[in-house]
Amino acid sequence: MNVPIDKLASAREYLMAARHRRTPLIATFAAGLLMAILLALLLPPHWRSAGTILIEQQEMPQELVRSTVTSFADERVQVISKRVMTTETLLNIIRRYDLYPEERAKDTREALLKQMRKDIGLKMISADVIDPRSGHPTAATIAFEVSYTSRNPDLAAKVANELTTLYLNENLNNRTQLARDAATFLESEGDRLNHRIGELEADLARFKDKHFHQLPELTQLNMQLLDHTDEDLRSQEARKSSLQQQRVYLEAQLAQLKPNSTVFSETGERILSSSDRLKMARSQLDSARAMYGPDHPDIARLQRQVAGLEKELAGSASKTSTESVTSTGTDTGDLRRKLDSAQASLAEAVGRYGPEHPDRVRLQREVESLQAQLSAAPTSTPEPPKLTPKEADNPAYVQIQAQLSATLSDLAALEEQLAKVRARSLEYQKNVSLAPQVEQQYRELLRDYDNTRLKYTEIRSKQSEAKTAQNLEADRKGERFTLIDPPLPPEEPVSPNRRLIFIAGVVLSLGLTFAVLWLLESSDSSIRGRLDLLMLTGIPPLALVPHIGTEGERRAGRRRRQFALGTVTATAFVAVAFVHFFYRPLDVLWFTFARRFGL
Amino acid sequence: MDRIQRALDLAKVQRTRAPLQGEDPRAERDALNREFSLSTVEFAARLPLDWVALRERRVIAPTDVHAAGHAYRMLRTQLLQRARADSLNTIGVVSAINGEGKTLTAINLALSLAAEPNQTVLLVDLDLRRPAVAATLGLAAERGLESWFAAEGPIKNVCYGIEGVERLFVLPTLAPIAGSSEALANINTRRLIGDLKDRDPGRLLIVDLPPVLLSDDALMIAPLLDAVVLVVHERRTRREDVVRVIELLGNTRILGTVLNRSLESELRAY
Repeated sequence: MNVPIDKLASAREYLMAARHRRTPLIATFAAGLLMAILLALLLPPHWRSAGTILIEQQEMPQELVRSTVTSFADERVQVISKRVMTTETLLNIIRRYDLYPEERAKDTREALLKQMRKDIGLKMISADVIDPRSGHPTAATIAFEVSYTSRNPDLAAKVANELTTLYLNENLNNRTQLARDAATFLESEGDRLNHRIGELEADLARFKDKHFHQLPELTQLNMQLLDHTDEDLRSQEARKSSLQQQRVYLEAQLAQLKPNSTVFSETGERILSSSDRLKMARSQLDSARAMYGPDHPDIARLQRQVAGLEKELAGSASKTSTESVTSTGTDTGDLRRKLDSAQASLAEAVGRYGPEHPDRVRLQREVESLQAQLSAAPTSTPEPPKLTPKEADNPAYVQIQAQLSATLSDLAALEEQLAKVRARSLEYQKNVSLAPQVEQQYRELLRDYDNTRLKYTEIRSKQSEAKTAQNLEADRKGERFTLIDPPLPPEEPVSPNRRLIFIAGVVLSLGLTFAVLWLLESSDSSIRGRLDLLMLTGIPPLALVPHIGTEGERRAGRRRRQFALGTVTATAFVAVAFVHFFYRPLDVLWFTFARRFGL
Repeated sequence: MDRIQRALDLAKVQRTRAPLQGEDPRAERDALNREFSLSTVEFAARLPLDWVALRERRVIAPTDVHAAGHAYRMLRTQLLQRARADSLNTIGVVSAINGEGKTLTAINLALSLAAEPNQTVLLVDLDLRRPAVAATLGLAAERGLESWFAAEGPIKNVCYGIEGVERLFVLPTLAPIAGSSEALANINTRRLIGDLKDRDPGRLLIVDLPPVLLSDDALMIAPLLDAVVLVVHERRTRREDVVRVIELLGNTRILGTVLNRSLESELRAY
């Protein structure tokens, strides 16, 4: 009883179903066909006009003149396309040729531009070539096609022409602009480098100026100079030491000589000079003091003698204060020597005698008096006796003294010279030691300078190349676009493809008809045939009553058949007319057939 | 294939069952009895039929040579065989819904049965909501079953003979009866059928019943009948409706089905 409603459909069942439902099916097919015919007949024609632009290679060999425009042709076409398709340009064209009058009245500008862009076609034409540089087969764009589609053939040609011109001009501008840009850039870069070189040169000069003596070029010279100076120094030192020896010798000689020539009395006795006498008197006074009390007449006499001598000496030496000092100095030295000997005697006496022993007492007193004198005397160091040659009258003394003074002045001059040489040596040493550091900095500067110079030369040569390339573009000798096929008013519309629409319409109508049949059949769960009924009920049908036709039905059937015949005839007539007017005239078609079948 | 195989099996089972029943001695005697019994139908009048007009209403005259006539003869023969074998006197004609050719089948079947010698046929229109027998046959009857249900007179008042068809009597309903369910629920219906059936066992009652799925009328009458024939309209009667009818009829014996408007004609060139 539970037989699936959706049963297997055999061709026979489909045919029966189609016969049963012929009315909706025929209606569906007819409606679809009518739609297709109407669509094919009534769609407005569109005309397309296209111009072909050839991309010509550079005339000059690339080896001779290299263009600065290196992008691929198709890439550039796309760039140009974007430039041409600007809102402003398109709107200009729309205004000039009064395109899309209806759309302009009601649509937005964006919709208008969108429509325009859709109508403009750009097609690359490429050829399979072998790249001369890499040797690989590639597709090279050799030309492109600019087209415009419109409802008016003349308008299509006009707008296509306008677009073609835009492309050509834009390419020219683009290329010259690119070449000019390259040249300008290189020029400015060259100037910049030039300026930089000037700066570096100034830096270098300044550096050289500052480290003139330490420059690496002068290292050798510095070394030599240093050697020389050292030699000089050594010889000077040697000379100095000989001079010093001479001086010591002369001084020693001088010390042995009296400035005054010795005066002898007639008796041949040497007359003592005042100072000698004073010295003698003083030493006598000292020993007298040691031996006697202060009031001893010897002491008084000696004191008077010393005073007289001192007065005399002071009178003679009033011009030179140095004498007194000298005498005092001499005194002090004598006093110390005497004190030393007295102290040594005292120490011996202490060891030998008792405290009351007179020798010991005398020695004691001597030491004490010497100490008192020593402490009273000034402590300044005694200067060597310096006597002016004027005063000196001993010729040997004077000669030696002159030699000494010459030696001394020689020594002083030598000393001065030595100092200079030493300073120079130090400087040379410094120069030599600083040289490596300076050299490094110097090399750095030099390297920088050299690099910049190199770059500058390079840029300048490139600049001249770019200049040539610019001229190439300006003279239109580079790669260029040539219009080989100007847009003409088309003679046949490009769309719609009425034949295709018609055929598609027929196919779609058939499909739709089948779909309708399937839909009706599958949505209908009615009984189909004897077996179906038997399956469903399990009771065999007693009778299968066919359709009982009536006379009225037969008449209606006849009428319907006549009507259908009329319709089919009319449709056929329309179809033939369609073929005649929109596909190919019938006579032409007939000849085509005749030729094909060899009639 | 599976489907066909199953159908063949079913047919085989039925065929093997038929002769067994036929051999029943009582049934044999009944059949003989029926064949030679005299027609004792009392009727009000004999009414004429306009065969030309009837043809336009798809009623087939016994003399017509028609593919449908052949189909009805096939139906008649099978029906008679079963009726005689199982002593069936009252046979209803039902369908799932209206417009499936139930009344036409009843009329054509009755005409076909009446053409059989010695077979008295009573055609009763019990489709009280939309009675159509009289209209289809174009009977100019005065009273119909509606008047009998309204005021029980003798049944012969609403029974009409047909001119030219000796053994066919029609009990038409001329107008729809309001409250048909109540009228049928009345004990009179049982009496009517009993009366018509028992008057003569040789008679065969063909009852035009209302559509089973549209009212309960058919379900009320069906148990009073011996069997029913289910009329199915090809490509119109829905499968689920057929299944539902069989469910609803329950214990009532379904003799078989008649496929109307069948696209498979059984009359090949013969």
